Amino acid sequence: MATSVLSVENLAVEYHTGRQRLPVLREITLSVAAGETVGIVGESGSGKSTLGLAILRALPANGRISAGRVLIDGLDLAQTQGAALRALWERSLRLVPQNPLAALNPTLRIGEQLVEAIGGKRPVAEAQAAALLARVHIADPVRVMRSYPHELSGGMQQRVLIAMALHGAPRLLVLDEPTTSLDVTTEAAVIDLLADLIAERQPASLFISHNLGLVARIATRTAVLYAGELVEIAPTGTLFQQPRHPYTQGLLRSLPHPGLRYDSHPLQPIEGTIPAPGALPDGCVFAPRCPLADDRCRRERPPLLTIAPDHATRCHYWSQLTFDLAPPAPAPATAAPDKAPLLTTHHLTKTIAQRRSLVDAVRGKTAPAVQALAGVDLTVQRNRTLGVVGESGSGKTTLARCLIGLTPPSGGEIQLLDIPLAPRIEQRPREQVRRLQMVLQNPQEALNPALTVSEALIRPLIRLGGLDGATAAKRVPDLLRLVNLPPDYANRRPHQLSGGEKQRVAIARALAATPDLLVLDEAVSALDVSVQAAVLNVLASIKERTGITYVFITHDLAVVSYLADDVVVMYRGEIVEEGPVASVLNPPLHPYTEALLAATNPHGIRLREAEAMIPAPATGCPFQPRCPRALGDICRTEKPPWREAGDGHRLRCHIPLEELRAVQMGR
Amino acid sequence: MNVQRLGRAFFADPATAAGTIIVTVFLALALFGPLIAPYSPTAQNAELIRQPPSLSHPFGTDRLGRDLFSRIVYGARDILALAGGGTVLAVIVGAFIGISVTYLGGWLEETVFRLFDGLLALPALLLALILLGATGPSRANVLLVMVVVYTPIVARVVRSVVLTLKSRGFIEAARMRNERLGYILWRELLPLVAPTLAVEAALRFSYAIFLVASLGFLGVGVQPPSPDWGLMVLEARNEFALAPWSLYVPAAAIALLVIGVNLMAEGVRRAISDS
Repeated sequence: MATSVLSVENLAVEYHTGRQRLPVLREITLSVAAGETVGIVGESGSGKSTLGLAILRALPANGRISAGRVLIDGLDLAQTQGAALRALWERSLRLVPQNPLAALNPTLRIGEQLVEAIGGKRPVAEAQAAALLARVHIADPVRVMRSYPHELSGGMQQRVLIAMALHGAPRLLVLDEPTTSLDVTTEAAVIDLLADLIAERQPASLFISHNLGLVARIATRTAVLYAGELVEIAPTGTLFQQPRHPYTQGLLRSLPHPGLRYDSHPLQPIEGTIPAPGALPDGCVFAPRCPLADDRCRRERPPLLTIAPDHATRCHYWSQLTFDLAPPAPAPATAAPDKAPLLTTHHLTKTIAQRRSLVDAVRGKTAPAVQALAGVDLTVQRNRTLGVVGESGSGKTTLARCLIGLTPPSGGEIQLLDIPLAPRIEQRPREQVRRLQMVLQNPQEALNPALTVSEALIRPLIRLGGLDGATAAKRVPDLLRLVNLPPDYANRRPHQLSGGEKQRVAIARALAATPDLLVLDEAVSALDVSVQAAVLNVLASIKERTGITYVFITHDLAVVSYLADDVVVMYRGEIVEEGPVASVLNPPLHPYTEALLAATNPHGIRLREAEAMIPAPATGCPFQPRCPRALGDICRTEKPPWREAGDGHRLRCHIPLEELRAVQMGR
Repeated sequence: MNVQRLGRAFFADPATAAGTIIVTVFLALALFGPLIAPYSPTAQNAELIRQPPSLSHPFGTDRLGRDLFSRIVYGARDILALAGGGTVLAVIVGAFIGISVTYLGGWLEETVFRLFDGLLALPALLLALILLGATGPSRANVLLVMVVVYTPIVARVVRSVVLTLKSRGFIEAARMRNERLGYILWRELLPLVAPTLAVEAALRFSYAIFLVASLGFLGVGVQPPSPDWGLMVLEARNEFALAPWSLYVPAAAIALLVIGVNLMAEGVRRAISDS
């Protein structure tokens, strides 16, 4: 291997809280060569962000390197002080942070911030800044330099930060979840850009992420962090094909892989939760959750064993581990849809008026409005799972809130079993409220911190189930069991639960009054992969037992292809494609669906504009400005027609079906 | 919230402990006044007018020969009862209005809080003077005035908390089960507002002490011959050259109590934000 730019030797980091010292990282040894990208993966609490900060010597005030050292080009960072350290930071070390808006100064124009980062004489720096912006594919660098951060979309802000990190000749680039706050399509473009730039500038790069798929696309080698320890490191291909640590294997088994369905190949989540930094087990850190752990594992902490030239693992029994994901079986034919739809909408619209200023009101200007739903005709079949996918701003959450009645629609109709529903939940009779329930996106806000789990579960039984308090209380253990939580959780309060457990309680609460339809709005998006797998399994088993109908709203197509029977693809408040999952996703026909799926493929097709928020055209196809397969004038002037692709699968596109199919066959 | 931990956090700080001791001493004076005070607070003694502090009269006597120590002891009862009562009432009314009106929102919220903004535009003391001028000075009216003056402040603080809670998932979950309004307001929201309310109550109490004393001093609060501290300052003002101690003693009592309550309020705030 070439001489490494970064070498981390036996690094340990502690955080001080009160009188306690919490070990957050232990015995981390790692090296990164120029031009190489090492992925750091781990779930929340694994210490991956702390590792990035420790390497840059940017730990928070209560954090301290307690052992080991970090060398940059042979220079010990801990020994570098004052001006020399600042010069090193300025010249060689760069960070691209997770939240771009928080990293940019809201009161300074982008140009100012770039010029400050580049330094040197102003006209020269300005020219360099413009060139850097052009390099990160910003079409109009001059305009962007005059803009303030809030005037740019998230993807643009992240490009600006990448440009900022690239000036001069950076030696080390730390990318801390650089695309986590972006849409998949934007993420795809940013990852492509990063891969290009790393190849061109040859910095040593650390790519920190919780997203295994993303790491697989960009990293040459990948390190897996668990509870502050490096448990496995290997070339990325090897790590994903032949993982030699039970934790790595568990992570991979928790991921919904393309082609695998919940009924034929259920996910295998990792049991238990990550230990807190103050409460690490004596032996192997993973032993309490490891299905293979024995007495030796609980007693004796395994060293990082080098098992192949580039492959090391922290497991006593690595040689006995086997791993093969079931090969993608052809998707089983899903049961013929029950022809009686449970819920339908007819030309549902929602216009959200922006606040207008007093001046505009006096001038008589009308408030600008956003069309969040532009006439949605949705059909939800009974006993099936409908996936709703789309980028942010596609209207999928608005649709969910309108169905439930949390947000009244502006027009159109919603019918439950052919009975029209009132626009607001407060106007709906109790029986209708009971039939339609929803699980919200953020598990941290789902439960009232002042109330116990039991109280949260009792209320819907009383209010919607018509039970009295004592009878309702007897049902609580059953509800907890339904979502795989032990009955003694009834007395816990939300702060004693992890994110996944909170979401499971929220699901139990929504199911308490036995609804016919459960809407899940990005219900697993905020969860770590192993937790997400457990929640998805709970949902699948509930569906098998009760025959409940789900509307599953997500940006994650892998989850949809794992769990959903039907799928609806939304763009700009409209449905652009719908039908059975197997038919819509395999292969994708509509160019937008195709681009969403291709976002996880390094060689897939990309949108012409990565940003979801570009203004919608007044006429023609709403997707046309970003469409990679746009035909020309007809797309700009005429609304595309619905085309039937058989079996209930239909899409709106000017391109004839035969052509769309031919393109996919040719790939 | 763990009560033990809250208690430990509260007393860990010496300033808080000092404040607590001060307030406890004044509370004891108020509760056991007749046992502690050597004389009646209104008993005049023409032989012993304007006596400087001595063993028999530790704080001296005033122009009517009344024992200042006894007057301070009895006065503690008035000021703590009025300031405490006013604070409790204003916190209850303010919490009620703040939680319910903010949760309901719409034109009701707009109207109520614009009205409160109007009230808050006047300085508290001026508003209290106007109201007492209209209603006439009495203990009941002082209480009423404090509720009017402090309710908008409490309600506004409560509103800022409820606004952030209103759009949380658990409130939407309550809407999704047809929940009773009363349950949402008092079971879901009130416990989450309570810590803020406790801090606000402690702070309001120290302002209330000052307000009661100020009203007494301006002659529109508690009326003579009651041993009100503010009133004592007023009466002693003209005597300053002859008997400076008769001014110092009630002024020091007011200052000490306000400092004590403030230190305690700071302790409450810190203990709650720590735990």
